[in-house]
Amino acid sequence: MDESAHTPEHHPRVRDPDDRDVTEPAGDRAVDHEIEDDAPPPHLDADVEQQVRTLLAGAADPGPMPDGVSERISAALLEAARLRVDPGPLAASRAGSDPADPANPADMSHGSVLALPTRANRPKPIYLVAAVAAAAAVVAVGASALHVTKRPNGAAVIGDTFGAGASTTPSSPPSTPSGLHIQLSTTAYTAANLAGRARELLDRPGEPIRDLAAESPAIGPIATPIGLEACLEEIGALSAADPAPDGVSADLATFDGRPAVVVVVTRAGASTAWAVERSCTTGAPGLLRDATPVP
Amino acid sequence: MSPGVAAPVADLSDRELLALHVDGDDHAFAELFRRHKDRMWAVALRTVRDPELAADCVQDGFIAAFRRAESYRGEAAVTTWLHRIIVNACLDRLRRRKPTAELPEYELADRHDHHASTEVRLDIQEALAKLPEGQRAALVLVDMHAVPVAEAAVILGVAEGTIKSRCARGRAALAQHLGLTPGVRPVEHD
Repeated sequence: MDESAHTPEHHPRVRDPDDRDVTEPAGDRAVDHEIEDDAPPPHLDADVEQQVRTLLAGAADPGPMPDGVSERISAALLEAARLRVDPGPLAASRAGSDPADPANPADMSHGSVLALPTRANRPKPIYLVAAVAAAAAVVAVGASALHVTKRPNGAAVIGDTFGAGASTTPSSPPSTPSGLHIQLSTTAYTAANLAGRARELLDRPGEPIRDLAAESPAIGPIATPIGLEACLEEIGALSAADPAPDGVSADLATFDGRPAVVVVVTRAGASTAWAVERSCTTGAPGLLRDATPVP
Repeated sequence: MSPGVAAPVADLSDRELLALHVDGDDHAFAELFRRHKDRMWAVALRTVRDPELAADCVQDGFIAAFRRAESYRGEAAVTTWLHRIIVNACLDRLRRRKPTAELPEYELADRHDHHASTEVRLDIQEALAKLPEGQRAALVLVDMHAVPVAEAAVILGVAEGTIKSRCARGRAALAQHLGLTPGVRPVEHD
């Protein structure tokens, strides 16, 4: 994969994002103030030592990693994945075996969100059709994984996951009036400011979420087109009886201080916002704020 | 992650996931992160005693593991490998923030009520923060996370005897700080 593949396991010279070596065994590096390690340790009564060990063992557990930290690291991992060098024909062949096979997660990983199977038994929202069309176009030019999102203004944003060799723009960008935008932000939505902030989301969208972020465990399937579609259907924002939306924006942020997703659906020039839990999906809407008109 | 993706990945071992990741799979490392993030968070937080710094350490560590997964050759458990990377990231961050760590001059013993467990727990956290990095890392692994001495030695890259020595010194310092050894002067660290 890179130069480090030739380093021995016991002393891998690995550089972290700030060029620090963090996989080198700590003991080989300076812990200079502990040069007394070889000297006899101080005598400690066995009962006292056991008491200290018991106290340490019973020290309060820090608890799980906070969601914010988890999401931040997930995003960093996604960025690392985006910059990752294409692993070569082995992975590529696996990804390309059958990108539409839902039983093959590896395929889905390399086909990114765009290779997810669509539901064939009902009409597909137009933005999903556009996304799949974009996927097909990029796959056709050899990208191993990609990210497609649509700005509310309809301009396609297409990014590759593996960088070199895949930084291609489809020769025929999907032509569609619809727009799908999914982003991760720190916006603190509340019941009081939902409409206004939703307007800002439409007017000034942030960077679209990367493809892998959309499928990270910390974020959930709602950040993928399929997952978002299921949520929109569940909360009544999307149904076969309605005309296809002109645009859909989703912001993975917080609502009243808790992790949430604000979704805004625009039809015929009118936008409506909902706030839902990030677990929102079929059968479990997790509705935090029902349809709210966006000015 | 959709159920169709999570189910098969969740069935794989850590080694299998890492191998998949090296081969280019994009979901495998996410599953590793999901499995181990809480434990690594706990280790990092207990080592550096600062949530912001701990977050940086865990991020450094997981990014390094992500990028250099091919350096893992299966001679130790994946968790041991991850621990080592995270702990090293913590120690690096601590050194960058404070080049040397040393035990402060403690007050003499008998200033604590041994039955005030809440106070003692707070004190033990405080005392841990004052230990030299190596001692604290050894105690966090061995006494707080029940990592065997041999595995802690691999994680920290030192001999088992060094781990035992660091633990012994760290416990002695904690005992003094907590007033469990009244009248005894703290161990000198210079």
